Amino acid sequence: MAEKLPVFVVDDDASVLKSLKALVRAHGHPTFTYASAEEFLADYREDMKGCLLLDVRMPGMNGLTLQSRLESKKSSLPVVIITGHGDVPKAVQAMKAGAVDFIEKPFSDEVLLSCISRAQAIIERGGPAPADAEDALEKLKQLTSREREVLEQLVLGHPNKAIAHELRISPRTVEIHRARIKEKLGARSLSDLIRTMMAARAPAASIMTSPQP
Amino acid sequence: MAVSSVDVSNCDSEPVHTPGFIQAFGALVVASERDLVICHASANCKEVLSRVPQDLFGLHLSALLGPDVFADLQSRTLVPTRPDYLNPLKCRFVDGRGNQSVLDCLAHAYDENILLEFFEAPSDEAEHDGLEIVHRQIVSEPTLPRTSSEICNAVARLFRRFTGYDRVMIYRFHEDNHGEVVAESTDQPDSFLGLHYPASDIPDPVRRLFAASKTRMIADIDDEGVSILSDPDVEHSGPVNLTHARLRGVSPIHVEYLRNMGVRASLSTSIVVDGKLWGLISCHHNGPKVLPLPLLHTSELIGSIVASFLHGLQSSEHLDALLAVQALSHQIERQCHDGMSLFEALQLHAPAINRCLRTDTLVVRIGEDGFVAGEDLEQMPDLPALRSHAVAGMLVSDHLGDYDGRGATGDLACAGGALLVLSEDGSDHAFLGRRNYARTVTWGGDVTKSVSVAEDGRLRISPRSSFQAFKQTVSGRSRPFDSSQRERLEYFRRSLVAVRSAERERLAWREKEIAEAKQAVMQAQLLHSARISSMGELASSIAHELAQPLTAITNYVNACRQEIRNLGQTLPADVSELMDDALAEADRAGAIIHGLRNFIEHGDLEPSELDIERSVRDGVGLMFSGGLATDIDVTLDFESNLPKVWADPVQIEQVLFNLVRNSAEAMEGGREKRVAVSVKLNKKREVEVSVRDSGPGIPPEVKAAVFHPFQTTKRGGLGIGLSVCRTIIEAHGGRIWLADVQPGTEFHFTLPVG
Repeated sequence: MAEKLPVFVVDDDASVLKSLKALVRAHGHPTFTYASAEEFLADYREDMKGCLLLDVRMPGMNGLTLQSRLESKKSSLPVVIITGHGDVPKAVQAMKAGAVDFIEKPFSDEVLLSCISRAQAIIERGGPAPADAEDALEKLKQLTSREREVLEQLVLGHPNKAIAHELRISPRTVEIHRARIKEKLGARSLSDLIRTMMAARAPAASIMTSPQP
Repeated sequence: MAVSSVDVSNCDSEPVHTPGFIQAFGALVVASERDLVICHASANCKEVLSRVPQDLFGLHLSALLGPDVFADLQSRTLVPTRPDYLNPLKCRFVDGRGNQSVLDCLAHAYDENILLEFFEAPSDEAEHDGLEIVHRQIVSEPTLPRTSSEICNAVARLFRRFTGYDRVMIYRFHEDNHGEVVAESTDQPDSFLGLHYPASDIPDPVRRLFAASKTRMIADIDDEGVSILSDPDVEHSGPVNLTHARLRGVSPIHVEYLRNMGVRASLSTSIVVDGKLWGLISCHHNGPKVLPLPLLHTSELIGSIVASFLHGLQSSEHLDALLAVQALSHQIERQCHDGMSLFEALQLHAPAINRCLRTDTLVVRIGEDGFVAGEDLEQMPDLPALRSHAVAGMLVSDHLGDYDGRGATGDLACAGGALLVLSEDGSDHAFLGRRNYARTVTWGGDVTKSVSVAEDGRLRISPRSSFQAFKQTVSGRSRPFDSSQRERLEYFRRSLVAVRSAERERLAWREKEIAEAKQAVMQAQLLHSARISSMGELASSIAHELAQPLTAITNYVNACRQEIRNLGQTLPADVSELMDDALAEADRAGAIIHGLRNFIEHGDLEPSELDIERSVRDGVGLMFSGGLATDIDVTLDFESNLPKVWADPVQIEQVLFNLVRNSAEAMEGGREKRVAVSVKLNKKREVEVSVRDSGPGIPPEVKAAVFHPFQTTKRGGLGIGLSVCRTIIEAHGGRIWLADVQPGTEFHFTLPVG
């Protein structure tokens, strides 16, 4: 069995931190826990290798700030954002800043493990997976113009009510569109939607810059 | 008028009732009332009575009159104001040549004397003619006069016909005692109708004489008076008081006055209405004229009839006018009661108000609003200045210039009026204005020239030498307000004050109600936002705090399962299932929290087409799963063919769970524990769910606030359960309520059909 990817967990809640350590360790990953962003930064080294599970809401330095600090240090650690209270706009922001994914508390071990394995894939590849722009664009073509409008709003993290107001339709209609969009794009979660949109948005750039195999 | 004080004092000094002489159309004999012995006699007694006055002095009346007439005299009451014109004493005298003459004698007792006035007896014919005319005329008048001016005209006509005077005028006294000719009947080319005469023309002493004695005849001003001789052997207290003597001599001033008017003989009959001298029936003749005694009687009679007519008419006019004002006031009161504003009502009735109160313009101010109706008079009075003079809420005057500083002089368009103050704070009033009345008064002669300075330096009135109509400008006055009009104004004001005060109370009440309603709405909004924000904050922090341990639980269970796997052991199926159950529960708890928090913060639902039966079963099932509350008898009742609803399943389960849990907790310790849940399609085509229990019911004092947050009767309860239920149901477009049942508790909620 190949060496499992180390996992760094940053969460201010002691019980979450301890349980995450138990869970991740049970799955064979070397696990390091930090009760705050500051604590992690103090321990941070450039040659650190692994996946960073980062709680977004913490007293002191929050998850997003830590993410941007690491960005400025040219860190290559893949980041998985944990949102404790479904703060979707923050999660969207984190994804745009390069986070691999976001998961909402409480989460199943499957979801967690798939995030970790996605991070592992990125590391093994030496960078994020080339966005399959064509596939994404193909999928988006199936959407009606109104569905595209709703999607634009959804990936900003706006709640249904705000979208309804923005587009002057009823929340119920937004809900119907949302279900149809998920179906058409084969997305299970909001993060899937965001990834699809991001892939469709920056096709040329990722193709040009991504290292050739 | 400035002259009035001068001439009155001057005329007061005229010896009008003791002139010392009589007119020549009769003879006078005066005896002392005490001993009935003659002590005065007029100088013409020799011609009239065939007795030399000096021979009469010291004579007992019986000796003059003879025993029969004397007895007749003694049987009479001799009241001075009631001369017995129709039945005078009939006295026979024989002259030196043996000719017998019959004289009529009027006797009256006055001022300690008995006065005997002797007149030539009229021919039966003359007497008959006069009375005949009166009777015919009164009977033949086609209609009874209905206004005072009709009466006056009729009387003037009648009077002239039966007396034969050249000119008969009805002369009316105004409140300031100046007179006006209000009716005239004459064959003369000139007319006195409408002319005004200053009060000084009939000075106070004369007015008093008129009031006391009903008629006054002047037979011929060219006659020199006949002097009254007195018994030189008797001591006299003064000249004979002729107040009630028909023959009383005419004052030289009055003679001159009449002469300048071209009048030689006159007859004045007083019209006394309600104890006051209303006016005179004034007859003028260009030649000498003596009216026989029976016609004097008729004159007096007609004067009295006219007076009582006028009195009745005045009362009925007064009454009619008052009734008109009352009717108008009543109408305004009723319309205001029915919701019209006083302002609108006054505007509507402005013409009627001016008509009823004999005014020309109406100025109204109610609060901030105002209007002017009727004539647009310039030079309106300064109303705030008038208000300071108001007594009992009213100022009524025909010369308002005296009150508001505009002055008494000048040609004020709105000279008089009535200010009615309608509220205590002075913000509401009505002003009824009268225009400057008769800016030019046509006087009978130039009154200003009737005053001269006598040799002793005193101002003295002298009769006007010319009665050519003289026009004089009267300044700053309106038609005066009489007592009847004042009474009407008072009535009108009382009515308006009542209406206005009711209106103000109503307005204040309405304002209060509006303010209260506004406050209630604000409180409700405040409460709602407070509820939402406190709920939101609470839910948010609960969600966050609960998410942590739920996450930890999930992690531990998963870690546990993994560690066992790591040990190379296979989990027994039932253990694995239990672990899955634990995970599912943690997941569901997470979903509830997540949904609740989302919902409260953003009002977000995640609805879908929902099979209500299934949701109800799941929601209720949650409560009773895991061997909890097994002693509760639960019945579920679903109407067949229920439509799907559009709702968030997690939220609806949450509502049911809350309701059933409340029921279970309420029934704790009770003997009978039943919960009945039923679902039906109601008349409004909504799906209606009811949850009823057999518990003790909700205390009445809590019922009203049962859906308010943090309202709880449970120990350890947070009191947000029902509040959350309401928020959820209302967000779905449904309603939730507590039904009024006995015993137990029954909640209902509705959901729109999908």
